Amino acid sequence: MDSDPAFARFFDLLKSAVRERLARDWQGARDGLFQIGDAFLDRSRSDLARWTGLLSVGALTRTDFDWLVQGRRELAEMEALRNAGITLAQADRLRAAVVETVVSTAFAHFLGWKA
Amino acid sequence: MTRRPVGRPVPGLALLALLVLAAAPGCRTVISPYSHTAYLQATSLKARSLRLMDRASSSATESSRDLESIRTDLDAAHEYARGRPKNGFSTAQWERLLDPNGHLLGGFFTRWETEGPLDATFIVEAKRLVSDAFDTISGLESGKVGAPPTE
Repeated sequence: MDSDPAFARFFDLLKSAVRERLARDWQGARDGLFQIGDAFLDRSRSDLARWTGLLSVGALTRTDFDWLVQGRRELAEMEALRNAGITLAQADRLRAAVVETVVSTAFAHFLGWKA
Repeated sequence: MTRRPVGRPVPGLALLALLVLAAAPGCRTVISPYSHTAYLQATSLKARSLRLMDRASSSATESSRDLESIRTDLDAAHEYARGRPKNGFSTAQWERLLDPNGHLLGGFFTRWETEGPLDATFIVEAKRLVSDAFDTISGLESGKVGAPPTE
């Protein structure tokens, strides 16, 4: 089947369809992850600025301040877990999209079916 | 649908059938698909937890019944996450949020019960952390395959 010209044409078509889909879907996923990372850094910075201010005027005790900073670290772990999970979910979506592209390209090319 | 031109070679239908099966939603995912139950648990427990934290400027014994009730529901949500296949990330998030020796919701309840009423400024700041922590749980759930599209 590999040397079949019809299959060779199909395979070229498939490669370009998959490339198009990857370029479209993965770009969106990458932008989303960057946004999550930026938002987290911005929030950590503003929290620390506010807490040091409250500590300096005596509105937070040293114990409260320590507790909150530890909490921020634990929240960072939860953020990391969320980001890792979302990346895996995006990989699932991407894999499903590639398989769907293979199927639709195969049907269109060999059977003349249009989605 | 257009008909196949006569004489065009037909590939193995078995191969196509396999590809169709492989494309089925949820087939061999590496992480659990979206659960609306899990999403609702996270959002509803967030609202209840933050309301209860507001009362931490009074004695914990005055809220002991509500503390007991919400702990039961939080444990149920954690167990629900733990029971779903390929759901390790969400389960680990619940464990961090509820750790009684940690510094999020579980640790806040411990501190309230052991140290007595907490300072109002500290409560406000701790609520921000706990609110964000719940958002990471619902955020992961809504990022999974099968989640309704966001607006």
